[in-house]
Amino acid sequence: MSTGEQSRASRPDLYVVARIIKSLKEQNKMNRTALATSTGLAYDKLVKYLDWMQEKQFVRIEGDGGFVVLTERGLETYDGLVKWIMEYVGRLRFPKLGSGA
Amino acid sequence: MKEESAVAKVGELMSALDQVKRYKALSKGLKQFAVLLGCTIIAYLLIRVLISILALENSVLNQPSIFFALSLISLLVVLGGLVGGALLVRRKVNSVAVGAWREDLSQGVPGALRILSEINWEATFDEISVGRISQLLYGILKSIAYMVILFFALESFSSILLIHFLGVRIFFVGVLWAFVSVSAVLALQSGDLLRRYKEGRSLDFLLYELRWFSNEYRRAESSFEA
Repeated sequence: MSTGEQSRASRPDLYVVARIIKSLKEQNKMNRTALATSTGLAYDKLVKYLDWMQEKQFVRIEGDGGFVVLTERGLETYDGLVKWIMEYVGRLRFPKLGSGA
Repeated sequence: MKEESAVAKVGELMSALDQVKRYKALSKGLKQFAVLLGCTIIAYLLIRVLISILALENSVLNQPSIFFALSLISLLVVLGGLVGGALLVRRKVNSVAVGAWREDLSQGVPGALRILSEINWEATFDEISVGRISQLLYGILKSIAYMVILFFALESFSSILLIHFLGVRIFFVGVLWAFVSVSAVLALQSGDLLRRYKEGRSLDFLLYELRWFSNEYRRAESSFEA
């Protein structure tokens, strides 16, 4: 595997991060198992993402039950993604195209 | 509401990219269309040569009604090639699977992000560039086919009229029919050719917009990872 491929493989997937944040946004706080079910992620993969998200201060772990809670920064990040889509995809102008043939 | 609008915007983008897929299918069908058309024109010319050779030996073939029927049949070969080719292209364009992204998009913003991250921008740019040329070439090829068919028809039926009924032979009448064919088809097809030219410009514009967007997306993705 080349260095480029390695860095690509270790990159956090925006889609997964957004799914975790969305689930937490809807449920307020969740334990890891429920969060894995809700996001459809394998437990070990979720844990890796949660570690990265904790590092970035998007989530924090609360209490003995290990509840995952969305932080203000995590919420801002999600809103930022929505805003980004609105701003950049929204700025695109699509010309009227024919049927092809 | 803000999230829904963002998702709808990505939906618009994907609909435009679905359209680009149709242009790609057109470019694939174009080669077959050209080959089919070329073969039928060659077949027509061979049939005409064969009829002329046989007419030298068999006087029945020189009768105007027989000659007319044979000319008509040979013309149908070229016409069949044009119609068959156009149907083939249409079938290819219509068979393009579109809207596969709708399921992802139903997941909201995460789905929209997944769709954006999975777009192969370089392949999309190539598809637009090829599609832009193909749709114009298709229009030009179709117009040339109409000209050829009209020329063959005029040339065949005028020779029946002039040689068999009036008994005269006018030299260079083919040049006149060529001029008539080109002028008539250009007059009839100018609207279609202009539409295709404008569509090419629209695809240019789309390419420019998407290049800008892909750069912004890559930049945003890198800044998020950092």
